[in-house]
Amino acid sequence: MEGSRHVVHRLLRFVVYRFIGVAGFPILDRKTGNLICKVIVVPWKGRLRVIGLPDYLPVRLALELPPRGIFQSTVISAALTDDPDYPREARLESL
Amino acid sequence: MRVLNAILTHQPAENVDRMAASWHQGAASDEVLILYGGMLADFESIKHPHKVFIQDSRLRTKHHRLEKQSYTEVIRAIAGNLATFSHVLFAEYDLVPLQQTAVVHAAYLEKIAEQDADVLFPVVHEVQATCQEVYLPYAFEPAGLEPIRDLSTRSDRGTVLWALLPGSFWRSEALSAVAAVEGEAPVYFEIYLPTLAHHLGFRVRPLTDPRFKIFGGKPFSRASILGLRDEGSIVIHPMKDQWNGEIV
Repeated sequence: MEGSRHVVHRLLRFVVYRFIGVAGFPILDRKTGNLICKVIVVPWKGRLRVIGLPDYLPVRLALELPPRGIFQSTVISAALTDDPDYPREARLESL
Repeated sequence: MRVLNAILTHQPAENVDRMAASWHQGAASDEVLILYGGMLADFESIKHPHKVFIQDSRLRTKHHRLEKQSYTEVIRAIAGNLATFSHVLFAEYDLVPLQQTAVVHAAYLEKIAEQDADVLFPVVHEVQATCQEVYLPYAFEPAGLEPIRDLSTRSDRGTVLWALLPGSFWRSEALSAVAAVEGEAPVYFEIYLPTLAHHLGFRVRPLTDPRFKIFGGKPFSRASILGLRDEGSIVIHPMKDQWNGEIV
């Protein structure tokens, strides 16, 4: 019983992600313009549920004002963070 | 320069001995350290002499992220065996070397010098204020990261790093410093270890080289190994069944 439920979940997940891959909204990196992923957004209990963001990618969402508009609105944009590139501050005896 | 191969595994003893022999090609007898996270009876059956049993219950989690799995005792065990080594290559059993150990080491040493880094991770991201899945629980529970921030030598104490550990390459001094930190923050190791190394002042960089095929996703097949070896790949991860029988 548990096993068949697991199979159904996996199948459902596969179908939904396939659908998102084809019909989802493209999310572009605001810094580079590259496609990060495709998502669908579902209103859910007073919040917005975003389905399709990749698990391991560091996607930073930001609220922005659109340049000009007829209606008051807010833009939610996305960008991948840069790789860490901080200088060494520890003192190493081997160097 | 001497490199210690520190390999974490929980596989049956015969698999561990096959794996140790594979890593051992061209290496001195003490250069392969087995860190065992399985059953004590299996550990005692392992013939490879350079081995440590890891007792820590926080290593043996079922729901790793939820239970905040820890590699701290693993890191401390490596630090206790570092005597003459300048660098540590940390691997798990499913990271498979495709070249002689000396070639693997030379490639890592070249990369760490090129990046002027203290720790190289196959993948490392800066994740604070992102919706990265492993980081998100700490966005809502920031107190978990406070013990790390309290130790920070950095001007920006808010940086949080996430990294893939298998295939990481450490200067011994960086690993020893991380191991010497007393206590432990209740944070999943993929966040805890890279973030701690960064805040202790060490330079953490990604291992950006296509010859190191180290990913967190779908396992490689045994059939794919030969082609990758001929292409000049250095290591691959994950590959779950390499040590089950005849080695490819």
